Amino acid sequence: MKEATWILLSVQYVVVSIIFLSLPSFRRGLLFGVTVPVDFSQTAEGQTILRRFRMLLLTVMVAAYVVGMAGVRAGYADMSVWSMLASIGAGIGIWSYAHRQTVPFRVQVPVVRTAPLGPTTLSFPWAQVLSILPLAVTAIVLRVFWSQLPARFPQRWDDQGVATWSQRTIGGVYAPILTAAFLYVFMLALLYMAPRIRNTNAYLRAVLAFVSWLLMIVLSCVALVPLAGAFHVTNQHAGVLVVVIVCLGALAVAGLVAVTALHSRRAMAPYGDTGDTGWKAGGILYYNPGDPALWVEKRMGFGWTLNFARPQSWLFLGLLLTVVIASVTAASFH
Amino acid sequence: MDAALQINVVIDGPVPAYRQIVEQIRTFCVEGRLMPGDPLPSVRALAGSLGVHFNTVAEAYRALADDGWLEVRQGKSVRVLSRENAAAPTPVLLDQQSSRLRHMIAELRGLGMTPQWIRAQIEAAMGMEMPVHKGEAQ
Repeated sequence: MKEATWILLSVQYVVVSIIFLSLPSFRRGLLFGVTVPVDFSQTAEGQTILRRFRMLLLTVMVAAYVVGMAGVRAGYADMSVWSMLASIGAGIGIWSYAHRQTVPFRVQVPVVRTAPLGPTTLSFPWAQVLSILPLAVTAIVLRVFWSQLPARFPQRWDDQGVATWSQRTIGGVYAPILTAAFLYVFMLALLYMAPRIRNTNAYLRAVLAFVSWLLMIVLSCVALVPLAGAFHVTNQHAGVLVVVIVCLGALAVAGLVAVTALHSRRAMAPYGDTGDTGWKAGGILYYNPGDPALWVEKRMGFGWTLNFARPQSWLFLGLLLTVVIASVTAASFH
Repeated sequence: MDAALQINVVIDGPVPAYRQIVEQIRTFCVEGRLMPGDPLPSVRALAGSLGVHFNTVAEAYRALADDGWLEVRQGKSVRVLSRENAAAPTPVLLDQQSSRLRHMIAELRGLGMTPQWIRAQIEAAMGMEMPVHKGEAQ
């Protein structure tokens, strides 16, 4: 499993680096959460700020990767997790630093919001709704082959091999299915709770559908692990397979982020639908009591974020936390 | 109705958001891009899509309904009204609008626009209009 750990750690850093490096490129007229002239990224000052951000970010990622790997080699398996969390924290810090560097170049532009007045051409979200299929098939397969499931099967691996085992109970076998079902419902709720997403942005709907399919497929594969023995696959090989599937899923997400950055920059109007007022933490959080909008376009990445000055946003956040806690509880339930 | 019809609101602009909505919908009606019977989004849907307060859209729809452009009924969809039977403007209203037009022309002349340019703009705008209604033929 040492090779699998090495691959998993490497892929994690590649994915996080791609995502962070894509973040400044999502919208013309916005750089590090600051409203700037549309072609500012091409100017000497813009290029300098971008180059400094990339250099600092890559340095931090490489350093964190080396520390994480050294920790794992020395027998501190948790070091890989802590170094990854530290690198993400440092990445946000570098973003904030780049934000401060960009602020002197800020410009004022009118904030325009657009909505369709005619009938919406977007209809029922079949692509996202049908992502339940792999999960449903997996649930049926597990039920059909229930008698062939071993009394206990691996649930988590580390570099020494199987770290924790799960029992052949409804909770044990169906935990990944339950987690996926929570995520499925949550992503559909996300689609319907934001009317601006539902009505105005076909590309975002496609992204949500893609992510929903990806999550359902990856979690379905994980849910099928208990059946590995029935097909003469050893526990160790099952662990490697899970690592490969998770890595492929993570790389697909990173690819999606990079492609979305290119699409968004090319196809979307510059600046977004908010002014600089109300953005906190370098354009990451939005808190503007003067803005009645619940959802606003993100300044760090693609999609929408909540206006935390609106009480409904806290309700939504509570729902999100409930889903996460319920998923974790379901995953650890035997 | 044109499926690509969009409404734009400049947030924090000098013109109140409800006024911008009123002016755009009225322009769409006059230009024939919104036809009698066309449905409009509900107050809640348009406010959510635009990211403005419900009252802003409700006030705009109410103003348009008061002027006879829209039919807004509780629990029913909002629809564009036919203006064929709209009441003829009163002499006072005609005087007010005539004065408004004169002031605007004077302002444009003051800004350096030529009478030919102003005439061309008015003719172009009138060319986009729907057939003249009964109430406007004065």
